[in-house]
Amino acid sequence: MPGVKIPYFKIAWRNLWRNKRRSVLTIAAVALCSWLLLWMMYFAYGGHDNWLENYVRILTGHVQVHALGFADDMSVMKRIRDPEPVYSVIESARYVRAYSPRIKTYALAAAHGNSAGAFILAFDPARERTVSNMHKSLKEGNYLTPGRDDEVVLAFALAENLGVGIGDEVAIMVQAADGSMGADKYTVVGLCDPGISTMNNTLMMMNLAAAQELLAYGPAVNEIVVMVDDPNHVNRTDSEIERGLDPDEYEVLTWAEAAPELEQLIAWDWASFVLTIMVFGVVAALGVMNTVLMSVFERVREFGILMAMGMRPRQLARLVMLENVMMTLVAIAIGFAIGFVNAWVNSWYGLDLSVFNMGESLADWGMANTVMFAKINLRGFLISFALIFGMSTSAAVYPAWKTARMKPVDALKFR
Amino acid sequence: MRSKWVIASVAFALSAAIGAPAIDVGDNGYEIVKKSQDLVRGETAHMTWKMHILNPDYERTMTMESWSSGLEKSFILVTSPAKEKGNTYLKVGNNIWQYVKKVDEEMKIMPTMMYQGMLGSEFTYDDMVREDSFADDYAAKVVIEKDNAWVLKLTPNKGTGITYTYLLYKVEKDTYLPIYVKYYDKKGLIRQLDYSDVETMGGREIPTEWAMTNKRKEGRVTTVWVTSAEFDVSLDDAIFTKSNLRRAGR
Repeated sequence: MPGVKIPYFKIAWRNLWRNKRRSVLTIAAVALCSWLLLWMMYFAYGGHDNWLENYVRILTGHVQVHALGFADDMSVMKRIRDPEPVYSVIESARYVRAYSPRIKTYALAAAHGNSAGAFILAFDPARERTVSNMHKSLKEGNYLTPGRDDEVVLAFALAENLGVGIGDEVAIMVQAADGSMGADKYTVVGLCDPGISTMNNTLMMMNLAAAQELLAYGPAVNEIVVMVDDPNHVNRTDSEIERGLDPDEYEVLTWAEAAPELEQLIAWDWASFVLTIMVFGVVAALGVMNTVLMSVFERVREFGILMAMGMRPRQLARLVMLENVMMTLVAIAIGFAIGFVNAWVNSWYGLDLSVFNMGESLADWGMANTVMFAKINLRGFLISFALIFGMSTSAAVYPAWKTARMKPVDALKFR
Repeated sequence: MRSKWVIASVAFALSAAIGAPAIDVGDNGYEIVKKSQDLVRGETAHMTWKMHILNPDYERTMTMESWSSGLEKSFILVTSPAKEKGNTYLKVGNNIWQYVKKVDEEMKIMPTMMYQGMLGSEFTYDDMVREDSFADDYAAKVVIEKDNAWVLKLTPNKGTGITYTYLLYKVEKDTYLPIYVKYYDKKGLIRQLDYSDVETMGGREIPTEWAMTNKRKEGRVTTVWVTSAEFDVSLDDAIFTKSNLRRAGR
């Protein structure tokens, strides 16, 4: 109908409610998908944040500073000889919440003629509390007392391999930084469960000063671990610290560089999540397409009359598309409203996943905590919206195309 | 027919380029290695040593005293510096035990530690263990014979677990004294042990300076000097026992 302004929106909206039951059912199905998608999406975000928080709290921290090359071979020679200026650089970075100097090294532990490889982690217990959860891993006995350089806390399995318990002595031998053999005896004051499988039979914790003495380190340390206020500020802090230090002498790593396996795990989890969404999405889209096709075939004669009156097939197709878009938007509005409330509740009251028996595999990543919390953000909303809207509207493309190719005469004869 | 000629002439040219065609002296290779190794050890030996370790991270000097019976058993006592004085090592066959005085603990060196440097030096525990079967672990063949010296190519025998692809071992003809050992792997030369400063000690002519140079990592050289030696002395069997580790350390 050239020259006539067609009130598409009005017509589409009315058409939608001509077959109430069908539209309501379709809207309900799409709304359910929207609800579940948004809810799952926010759980994925919350879960990954939880993984990261747990993981960085075990050992890696958000940012690590070492002498150049330390991350490659953990050589005792590669140390921060004078840590004070490095501390000032870290302190002046904007988002730094806490930092703790450490010494990490491999050693040989021996007791009663038994010997075993040990991973020494030395720190100031009061400082370390602000960056990691090492103090929470203590299961028996006492934690390290600041200033008591003769004390060690061992992982259960290491203590068992050496045949020692609380109160026993254990000898440690290392290659010291001056090339000599560093050796000393320590008293086991506590036993811990590090909760990360690679350290279960090697971890040995001691005071920073004790390790400095053992390794002939003087005031040196070989790692400074930094925590920032928000995971989003990791990269900014990393480059801020990097700028303040000589790149020929120091390396500054983010958690993702220090523990690439966690980043890979998160990426893999996203990939499997997206794959699941796609499968459900295609099934849902086929359902929507079926509905739209039915609504089109029901109205072939009607379309024929409209065309006889001068409406163009392309205008009809536009109408079909618009009906679908409206339906989808209504469905998304309803679904997301429920999803938001749902996710918001779950951001305060987590979901306990222990019923799914995932505890063991998550424990390898130091995630003893199986209660998951949702995290609401704009990105999750936009991605969910784009996915549902895209899937649902693309389902109307084929019926609309069919409509656009109708011939008025055939349409009128159709029964 | 033609190709055979080509191969033969190429082979001839190659062997000429290397220096001389390989002379297969049969069991002779084994004899040379065996004799040259025995010379430096003797039936029994009691020696004192000075060791200097140089690498990019540190430089240090130590002194040691050693007792050995054949190639099978040896015992080492660290006599300086003060920090490590009294640490002892016992080798019997393929096993090495270590005693650390400061913590009063003795332990066996585990197979995984065999290729680590002993006392932070370029000499490994494996070097110490291998010396008693050196001549038996390799098939020796003279590859160069000139200037009053043999150069032998030592290829590891199967089942020895040796990680080198071959060794070049140079021996002086008159005296059977070793001049150098070059260690090769697939990528080429890894390390080289040079013997020098031949002096008379304990009634024998022996090289008194042994220098092990790391050819892969620059600036890593460990040199040991024999500071005194007695050969074929009578040694108590009790020296080569685990209980002596602690006793000798005091």
